[in-house]
Amino acid sequence: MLADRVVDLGTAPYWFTVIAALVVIVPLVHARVRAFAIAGVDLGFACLCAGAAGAPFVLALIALAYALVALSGRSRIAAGAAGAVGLALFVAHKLPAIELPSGARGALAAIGFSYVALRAVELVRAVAERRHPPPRLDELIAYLIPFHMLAAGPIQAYDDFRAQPAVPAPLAFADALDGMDRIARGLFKKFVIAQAVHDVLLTGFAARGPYFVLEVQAYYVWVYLDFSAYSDIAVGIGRLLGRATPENFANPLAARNITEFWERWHISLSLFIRRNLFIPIQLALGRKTDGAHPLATACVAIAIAFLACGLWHGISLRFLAWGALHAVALIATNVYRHRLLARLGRKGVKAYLARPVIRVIATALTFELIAFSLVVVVYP
Amino acid sequence: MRRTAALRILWIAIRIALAIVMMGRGSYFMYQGF
Repeated sequence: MLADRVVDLGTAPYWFTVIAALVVIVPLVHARVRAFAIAGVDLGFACLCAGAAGAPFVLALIALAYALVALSGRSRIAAGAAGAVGLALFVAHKLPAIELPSGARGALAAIGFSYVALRAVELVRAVAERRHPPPRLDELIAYLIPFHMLAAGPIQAYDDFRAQPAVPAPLAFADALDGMDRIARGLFKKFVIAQAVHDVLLTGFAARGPYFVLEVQAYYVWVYLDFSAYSDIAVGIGRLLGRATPENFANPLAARNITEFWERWHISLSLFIRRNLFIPIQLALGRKTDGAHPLATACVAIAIAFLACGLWHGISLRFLAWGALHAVALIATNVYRHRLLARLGRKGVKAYLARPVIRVIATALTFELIAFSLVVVVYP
Repeated sequence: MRRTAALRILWIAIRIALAIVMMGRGSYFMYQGF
């Protein structure tokens, strides 16, 4: 489940690209020239990561995506073809047993195809539903393979990508300081704190007995520190470059239930699931049942969305079980909240949840649920 | 104001320096689809 270290934040090429992007992009005030430079940096970095063997595949993939997205605005068949190609590449990317042409597997890993596939879904939907015109080639590159979001997201909504100004306001000293501060926070979190947690506390679940329980907690904290650090660095670089980069975390360790956890953890993925799976499924079911069973339709939508979420993380029984566990917990929380509302009313529920004892117990239970759900996936 | 900015820059520099020292020791968690 741990992919190769392709986009490695601890190596010179990544930071050379960051510095080159800052020097080249920040001074540009002409919209088209700026967009062209951004696409150049993004495509160049993707090809650099893919290597000589993978770069032609990256270029071919971008050309194919450009053609299919452009056609998606005119024909449902093209949109379907784009979905089929994306799904086939995603399955091939996730299953190493599937044979791929030389360089293709490395290229898919280099560009973080798991994330590219989700961005492609957003893009094809936006164009097929005529919410946006088909993008220019430079826009498509900047949206699908943004160099600072390649490693681990975040997953930007296409609406947000389109909403950002073509040329941002000039970089002020305060913004530059905020951006640098965010990058420093991410680097420190990842290479110092997460590294220390890893080196001191983690044994790869080799230890047994009480230490196993401690390691479960430490593993969750480590994953949070490491993953959120990637997002900090991406957000910081985005701020320096004037490229909209969504926030991805809001202190998930303090979540009081699993619904709140998904509002705080990998937020861009949660919002993607809500926009592209949960809401469409719930609406379709609601139409079929004439809105007679809102709680049941919400539960079915949650189940489908989170089983798919599990499979997005990895095509295996373990990830399917992880998705199912989260789906069951989300459904249970949903049903429990409805029952509480029916019994105590809105004000009563608010007062109940605000009680310090309930807050502490709920936070601890949520922490343990998330921590032990990770074990389902990573236990050797 | 200048003092606050200077202190922030110093704190940024310290954290980046510590991160650079620790880089290359491995143990990366690559959250690429988990």
